[in-house]
Amino acid sequence: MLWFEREVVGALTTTTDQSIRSSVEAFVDGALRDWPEHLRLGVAAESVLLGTWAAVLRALGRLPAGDPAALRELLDRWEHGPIGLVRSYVRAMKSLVIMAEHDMLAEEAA
Amino acid sequence: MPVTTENEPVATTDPVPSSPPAPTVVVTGASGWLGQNLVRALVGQRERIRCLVPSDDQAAPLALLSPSIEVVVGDVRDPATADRLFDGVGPGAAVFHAAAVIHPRRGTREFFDVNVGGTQHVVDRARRAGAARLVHVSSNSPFGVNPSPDHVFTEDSPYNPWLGYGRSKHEAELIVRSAHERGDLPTVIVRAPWFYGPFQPARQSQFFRSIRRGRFPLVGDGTQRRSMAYTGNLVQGLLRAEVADKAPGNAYWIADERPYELREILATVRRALEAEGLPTSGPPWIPLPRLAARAAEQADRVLQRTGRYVQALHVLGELNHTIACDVSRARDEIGYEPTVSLEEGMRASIRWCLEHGEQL
Amino acid sequence: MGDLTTEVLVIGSGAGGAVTAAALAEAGRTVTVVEEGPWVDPDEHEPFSLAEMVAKYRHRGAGAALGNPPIAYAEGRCVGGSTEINSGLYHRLPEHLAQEWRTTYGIDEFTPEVLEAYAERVESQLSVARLPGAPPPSSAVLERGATKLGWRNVEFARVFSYDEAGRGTKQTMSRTMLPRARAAGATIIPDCRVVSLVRQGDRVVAARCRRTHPGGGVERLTIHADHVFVCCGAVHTPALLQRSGIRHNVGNGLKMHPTIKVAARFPHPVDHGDVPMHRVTEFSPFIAIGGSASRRGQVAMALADTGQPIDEAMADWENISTYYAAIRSEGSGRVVALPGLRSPIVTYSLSEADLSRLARGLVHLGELLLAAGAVELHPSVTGGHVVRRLDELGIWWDQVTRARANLMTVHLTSSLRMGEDRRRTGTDSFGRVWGFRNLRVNDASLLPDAPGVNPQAAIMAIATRNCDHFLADA
Repeated sequence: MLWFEREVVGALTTTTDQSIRSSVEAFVDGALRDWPEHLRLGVAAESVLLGTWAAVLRALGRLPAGDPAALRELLDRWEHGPIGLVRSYVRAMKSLVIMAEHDMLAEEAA
Repeated sequence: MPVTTENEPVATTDPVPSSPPAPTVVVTGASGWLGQNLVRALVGQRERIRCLVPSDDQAAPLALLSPSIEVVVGDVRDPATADRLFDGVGPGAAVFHAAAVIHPRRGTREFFDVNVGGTQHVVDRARRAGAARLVHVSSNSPFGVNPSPDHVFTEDSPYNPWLGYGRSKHEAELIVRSAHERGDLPTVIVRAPWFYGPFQPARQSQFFRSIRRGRFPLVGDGTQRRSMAYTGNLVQGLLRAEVADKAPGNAYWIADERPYELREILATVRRALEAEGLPTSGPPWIPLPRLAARAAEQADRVLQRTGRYVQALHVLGELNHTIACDVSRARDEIGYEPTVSLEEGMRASIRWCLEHGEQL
Repeated sequence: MGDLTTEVLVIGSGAGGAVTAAALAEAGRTVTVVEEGPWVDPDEHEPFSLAEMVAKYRHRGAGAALGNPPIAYAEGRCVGGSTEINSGLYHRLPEHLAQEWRTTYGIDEFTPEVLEAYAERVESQLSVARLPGAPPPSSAVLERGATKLGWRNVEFARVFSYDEAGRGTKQTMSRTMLPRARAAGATIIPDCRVVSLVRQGDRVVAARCRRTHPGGGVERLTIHADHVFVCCGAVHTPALLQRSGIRHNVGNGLKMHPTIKVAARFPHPVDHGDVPMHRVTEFSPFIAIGGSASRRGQVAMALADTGQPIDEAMADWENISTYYAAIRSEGSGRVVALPGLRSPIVTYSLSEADLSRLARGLVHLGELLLAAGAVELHPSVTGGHVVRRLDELGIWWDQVTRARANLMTVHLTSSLRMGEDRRRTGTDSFGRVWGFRNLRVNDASLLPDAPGVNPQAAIMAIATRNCDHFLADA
């Protein structure tokens, strides 16, 4: 998993339970490895581009560093934005994280 | 508001076994070209005429016609609108479903949203309301164009939908048929080709203007034939479909008595214009090679595949073809009798334009 | 590097492959089945759980057909294929489709009577049953809503067997056809991916495989066979053929049932362990309405599809279940295997009519759920309006666009198509690949179109029919 992907997964995971947080990260990591190569490649390329963009925003002081809520807001804007590939990127990451996290929370409750 | 005499609806004695018309009717597309003619034929004949129109500005002129008219404004795709349309209608009503998009402004998706989605809602509500019969206005487009200039469509012709509009009207027909097969909503499909008559939209005035000035394109030698339906004839067909005992579960072609060659249509319109005091000028038409119409048709196909629709290309592409149907079965089974001839109908149509301040 | 020799090689062990293996082994043929995925004890994981996705799904469930919009898809990758992960719903091929396909594609011996006889045989070998007793709340919702609106609905039979206490067990291939095949002498090799087929003139003589051992080592294996049946499903069958240089009508014309969803909140708890068995058939053959797997993870994912915060709704997740509208689509797609890539590229193109149909399906689904007592509907549409009343539903028509609709599918078919019309088909009427004497396809790729219902019954009946034809012929 690339650095920006790790950051995105962290921002999208809502639970404070550390063991679940790391299980979610491990699941997403496994899923990305398991994806078709062309999709993985596309997502990796987007991660680099979007990660760079986020870094630029941080350098300009437009995105607070180390603030998962701010990154979440940025992802939200991308999800509703005009670029299809970026929308799909956010959706894919979000689906993986949300499904994993909630399935794990249910397992834990049971 | 002038009511054309050609709209006189039903003969005093029924030509075929029939049931009495329903005192309550529901008309969708009531502010459209056909809807306006139909509603006027119903006024004075029925107790309640519930009308669906798409916007407020189209509601008032209809409501003024008669106290028996109740107008519902809304989008035919919207299930809540369909509920309001049938609210309090009660069982036994007749439903005329004439709402459809033929020349979409927002791309071909609109064909399917309105023509299919709208039909499904109206059919569903008509069934739930216990309607006595639903008469669905369809088109020649689910059947495409005739394979040869001497061929005519009959009720036994196979489906062969023509582009987006044809596919949407085909699916709508299947929905209407399947509703009938369920057994709790008798339905009749009326297939009308190109129609003409009062309450025409602006595009039809353009048709008259270009013919008057000799600027209408005639593709090829003009021997390709077209069935046309004068709105008065069509209204009569719809009303016969509502009452004829043999109609439910069937579909009928409703058009003028016979198809016309395209060059005959143009010559007749010029005669009609002159008879109404509008001298014509220029040549009878502009000859256009078939190749040009074929190119337009191809362009239309390609555009429609990407969801776009250009009316001029579509119309030009179709002008190359014969679209002719045989109305014998409607005559035999539902007692349809087209009474208005092409010249007579075109003159009525031209008079309506002049009375409404249209510059022809 | 190992070498094996068998009379019949069956590649893939799902609904097509397992049925093929059992039919041929029981007819006395020497059968070897290779399966890319692992052998997983069918009782090991809870259905539709994350653990199951990791163990049994290809790409952990994250397949995607590229297009505008892209369409997510899921397929099984384990012994038993997608029958291990699906809902087990069983529906014979509609008669009118058999008629239509027979004439359009020139399929021999494809009359409704023939197919019915094969369906009966399949049903006698599996256990196809309706639920004993009352349906679970999530399924009763569909029945209740449809009844209120006067819409036709049915409880579908499932490939399930029930014990005396009414507990159901899904009769997946790993519980039914594969044990039968084994009992008749078939060998099943899991964790074995076929890389390509070795051709010699108009025959396929062997399959080159890579077998992964439990310890992690990879062994190259060549399996020589007199007859080869490719049964890898509509995505991987054409991919394998293409990798082997076989391309005539291979991989084009892919069909699916594009599906749009709603997460519906009720004023009462709904169950989450099973998939609803009721289906609304009022809008068939164009639109089918039903229920989806709704464990907590799936509920959360469905709620997130609007792109709005899910915390408030998730606090009430036990009252939420997910439902879908699936369409028969005019569009089609492609499967393209590129050299060097393990996974083929899959594309799918929806028509404007398809999008309209999805929007209509969503509106119908919304009306049904409101009639059934739902209080809040979250569509799988980014920025989609959360609907609470009937008069809000119309908004969805214009919100279902290429940019905003989030679509998925679990039914992929038609990437070869069978029939005598060579311009349209990749195989003859019985699955034999054009140009080859001993190479056959026997899976969802053969269906000329997506059937509008769960395809596994049609796949199994057609596979059985093709085996009979093979046995009479070779």
